[in-house]
Amino acid sequence: MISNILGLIVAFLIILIIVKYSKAEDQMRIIYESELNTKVDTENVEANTPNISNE
Amino acid sequence: MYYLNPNKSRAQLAILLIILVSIIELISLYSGFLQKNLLTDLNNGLNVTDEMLLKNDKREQMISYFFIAVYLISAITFIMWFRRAYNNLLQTNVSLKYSEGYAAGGWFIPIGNLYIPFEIMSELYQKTTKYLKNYNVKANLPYSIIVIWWTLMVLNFILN
Repeated sequence: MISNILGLIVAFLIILIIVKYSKAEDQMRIIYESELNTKVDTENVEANTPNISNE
Repeated sequence: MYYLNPNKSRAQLAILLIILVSIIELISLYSGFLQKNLLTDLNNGLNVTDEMLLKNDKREQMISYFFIAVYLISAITFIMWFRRAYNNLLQTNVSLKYSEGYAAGGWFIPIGNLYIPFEIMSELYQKTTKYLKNYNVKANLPYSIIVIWWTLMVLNFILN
């Protein structure tokens, strides 16, 4: 019986852990991917800019 | 650098199965209560037939089998979520103690399974908080939950 009750508490805690982390992971994803997109854009601009010194 | 893998559906599936395990746990608790009453009746010399005892055994057995099956599926879905979460954190170039494989394999290493999953979960919470803090985002990830969860989990494991 003690084991059943402990099991229920552990289950509740793990749900809480997943829910809280999922929210933080979403925020991390937004920041990381916007940073990644900025980096890709910068690289594209640099690649498409003609090298003036060579001309 | 790669995009982070989606992890929302894995989280939802893991939660759903944990809820299912909890429901079976409640049923098991009630069944244990019924069994205790039956045994008390038997000890007090009340009329308890063989059929009643057999029915009780069958019910307990069925609940146990069902619990084990759902528990195993639940463990798999949780580990799938856990591994992806750790892998996503690795993608962000945060330095971590373990490789991605340990997030799944760590649960099956004798003795190692007493601390590796705890350390990985702690890293998930602490390093994500740190990552978000660098961008002035406040994360609501209290480390104390991890400590309480793991202490009770190990205690439950010992009791079982």
